[in-house]
Amino acid sequence: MSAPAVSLGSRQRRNVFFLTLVLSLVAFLWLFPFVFSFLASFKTGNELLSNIWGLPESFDTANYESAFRGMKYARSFGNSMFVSVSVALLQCATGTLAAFAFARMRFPGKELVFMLFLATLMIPGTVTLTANFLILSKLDWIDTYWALIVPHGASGFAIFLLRQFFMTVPIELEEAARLDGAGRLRFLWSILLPLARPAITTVFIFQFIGNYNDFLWPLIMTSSESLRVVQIALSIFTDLEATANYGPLMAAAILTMVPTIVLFAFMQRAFIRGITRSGLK
Amino acid sequence: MALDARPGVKATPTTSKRRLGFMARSRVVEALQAYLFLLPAAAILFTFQYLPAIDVFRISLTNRLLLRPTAKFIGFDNYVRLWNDGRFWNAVWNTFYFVAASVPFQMALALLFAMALATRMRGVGIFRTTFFLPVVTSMVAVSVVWEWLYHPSIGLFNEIIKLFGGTPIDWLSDQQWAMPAIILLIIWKGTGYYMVIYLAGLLDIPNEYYEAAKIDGASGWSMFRHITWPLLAPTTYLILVLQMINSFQVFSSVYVMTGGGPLRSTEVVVYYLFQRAFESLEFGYASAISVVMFVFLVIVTILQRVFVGSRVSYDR
Repeated sequence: MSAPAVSLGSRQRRNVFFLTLVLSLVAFLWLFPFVFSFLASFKTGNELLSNIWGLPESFDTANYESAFRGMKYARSFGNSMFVSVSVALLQCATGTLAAFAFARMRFPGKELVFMLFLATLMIPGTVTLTANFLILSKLDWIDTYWALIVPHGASGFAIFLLRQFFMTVPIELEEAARLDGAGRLRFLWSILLPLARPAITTVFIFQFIGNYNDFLWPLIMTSSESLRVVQIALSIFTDLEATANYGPLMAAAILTMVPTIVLFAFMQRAFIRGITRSGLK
Repeated sequence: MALDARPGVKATPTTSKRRLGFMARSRVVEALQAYLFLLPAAAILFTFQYLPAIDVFRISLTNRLLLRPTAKFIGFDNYVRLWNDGRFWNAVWNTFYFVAASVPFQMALALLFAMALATRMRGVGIFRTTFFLPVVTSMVAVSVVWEWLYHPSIGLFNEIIKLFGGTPIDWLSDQQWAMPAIILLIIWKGTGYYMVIYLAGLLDIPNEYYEAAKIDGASGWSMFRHITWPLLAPTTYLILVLQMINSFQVFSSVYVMTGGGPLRSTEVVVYYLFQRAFESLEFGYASAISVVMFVFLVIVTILQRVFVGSRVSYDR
């Protein structure tokens, strides 16, 4: 605590203690599913019945091995990474270009085009599923990586967020660069992009996590096993293990959750910034 | 400024013709370049957002089946059928039940958490991360975990109930309990997201307001009532609309945990839409469901805009 000039009164100290206590209890409730699914992921079928609350007898990785095999994790995780990284990169690329045009260039119809881009945020993803499926069929993209990547390659959110950032960069910087003979692309690439790293990181993390966790889109747009992303692999594994064999299921769930949790742990600030900016006020 | 000179418009006598031509050309070049920059994003947004958003209306007026590419225009027949479809109204009812029960709880909890964590207390960072953790995890994975927690004989929730001497509940296979079970999961999963938005809103409120109120001897409740709550109004409306739009589209948890059962007690609109489109392959009919939902959600969003426009109080 930042040392207050006057020491806290006993009443205030009691309040802080009480608040911390309540928060700790609620935090325990919040972590409960994570903690116990993690413990359960090491337990055998018998242990799940007899030793419900305790630690597992041994940190045996048998459940993880069967989850790894059942989900074809190497393949499905590889697919998820490839698709989510591609989407996130594409979003950064299309978003940067469009945001630069909106923030820094003059062209007829700017306001209107910007409104049209932003309005896409009002189109809920679930209502366009049928039409999108037919569009992708026409492109012959159903059950290909294209279907998983390209349609998510741009968003009003990314463009808006990056435009906000670009507008805070002083115009003098651009004028100076132009005087030194740098073209627009040159300025964007070697001056603006390095400056915009926090904003671009935010877009990347946000789109990566969102895409990695997406379920309905890949469920509909792909069917072959070689294209399965982690979420689909987990859902299919759940159906196969329907006989309440929860050890391997918990291991599979943990394997699915860990990548985004790790990423979040390292990139917390960038991610939170993305949410607080999604207000689009 | 010379940069703002337009060809043919108010050209000052000092501007030479040659310079004007150059300016005009650079203007055209800039515009062309801008359009080029917009092209990739525009192509994707048009093809996969606008086009399907318009196309879904057209498909909804046909009897399109997935496996039969030729479709006939049938006017509003799909909508008439929808109006008389008991299963659709059941799904609408379930969705409203879900939204009405989850949104207020999430909102209240999010505000409480945010207010507790807006203080400069030791360890707030850890609490924030904890409450936020479910937000970044996949819905499918947490649904699998909660399915186990809800298991009637080996699930932890029933163990807790037994610990306190209660009678175990058949959670996901009980018509009464399946929906509340999903709602509980969603509250746990989503609250952290809205907490973060509320936190940002709270930290925006200038501290002087509270200091002034304290000098006037205001109580904690009246400070909340007269400062925090009114100043948070825009944030609250924003959260409300985000929540509505998210909640009305609930799907994955239902798909994983109950498959719409038992006895369709958890069949929500998107799940029914999914069933019609991708199980029975009735694309025309499923598109009609989409359109109804689309129109409804757009109205919700517009209502929010109108409200925010008229309700933002104080001079900020």
